[in-house]
Amino acid sequence: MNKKGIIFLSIAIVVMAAGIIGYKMWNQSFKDPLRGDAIKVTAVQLFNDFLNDEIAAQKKYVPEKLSDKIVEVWGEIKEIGKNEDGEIYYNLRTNDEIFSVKCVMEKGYEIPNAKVGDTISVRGFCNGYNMDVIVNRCKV
Amino acid sequence: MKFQFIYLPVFTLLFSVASISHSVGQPQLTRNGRIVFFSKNELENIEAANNQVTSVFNPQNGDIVFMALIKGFKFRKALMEDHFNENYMESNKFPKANFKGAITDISKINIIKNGSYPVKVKGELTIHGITKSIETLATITISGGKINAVSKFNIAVKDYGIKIPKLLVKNIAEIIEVIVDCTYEPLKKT
Repeated sequence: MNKKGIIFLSIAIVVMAAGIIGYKMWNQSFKDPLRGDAIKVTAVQLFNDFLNDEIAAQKKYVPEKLSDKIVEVWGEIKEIGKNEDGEIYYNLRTNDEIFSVKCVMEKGYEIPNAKVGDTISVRGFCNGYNMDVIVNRCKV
Repeated sequence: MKFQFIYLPVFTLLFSVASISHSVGQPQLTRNGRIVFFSKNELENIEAANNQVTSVFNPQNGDIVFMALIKGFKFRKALMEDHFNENYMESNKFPKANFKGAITDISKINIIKNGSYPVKVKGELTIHGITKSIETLATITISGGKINAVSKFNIAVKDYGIKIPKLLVKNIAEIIEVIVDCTYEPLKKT
């Protein structure tokens, strides 16, 4: 192969590699909360931590880069609902009379036959405190 | 508790005393409000939704507040969500968006009569740490004792200090369409 051919081939390989990397990055899936270590905490503790010092709780529980912290939260179901995107959520009881830890489940990962009063444990990604503490993309 | 003044309007509305006995006259709360935004541009359309918006509405005087976690917006692609949080919204630094305002023509609404009422909303919207006054139209629907509020408005990303890299100006619109949809319930403690 002559010099021009080698240069052309090298460029083609670099372009193809960049294309494959770009395509993989564009189509990367959301991180699975069932994989990797998780911060284990009760719903009552998680809620109290945000109530007592929101900034410290944000640093402790909320991912800085996308999905780099997983929380495993357990507690008693106070309410079960479904949002407009068809995702089931479990509001876990805290010491507050109104607000909860809201665990929004990934579709297909709902807990079969779960009912109010049951104690459950789910893994997901904490979004922060919005009067409720929100844990999203949860799986069991 | 390290009290943050961002919550003051919510607490004020939540614990305001209702003088009307009918339930729709009481302070109304939702923790499942929905905000969707759309960026429509030459190369791609981007859409994200947040279904965990907290909002309190006082039908007696029209006061209304919304609060949404930026990290609560879900995208179709993980990379989009990543860029939205890290590069544009800086959600570690500015984790929330909120609105504090009022329905300025609340007298048009008959809270004990089913119907759909077009109203004007005025207030202050804070996104990315920047607060701007906004005025928009909304529709309040009262049906079967429940109150629903829907509003559609546009925001310019530059008004809120959100910088779009030159390389991506064809991907992300300068004007973002926002739809807010909240169905309230009378405040109840359990």
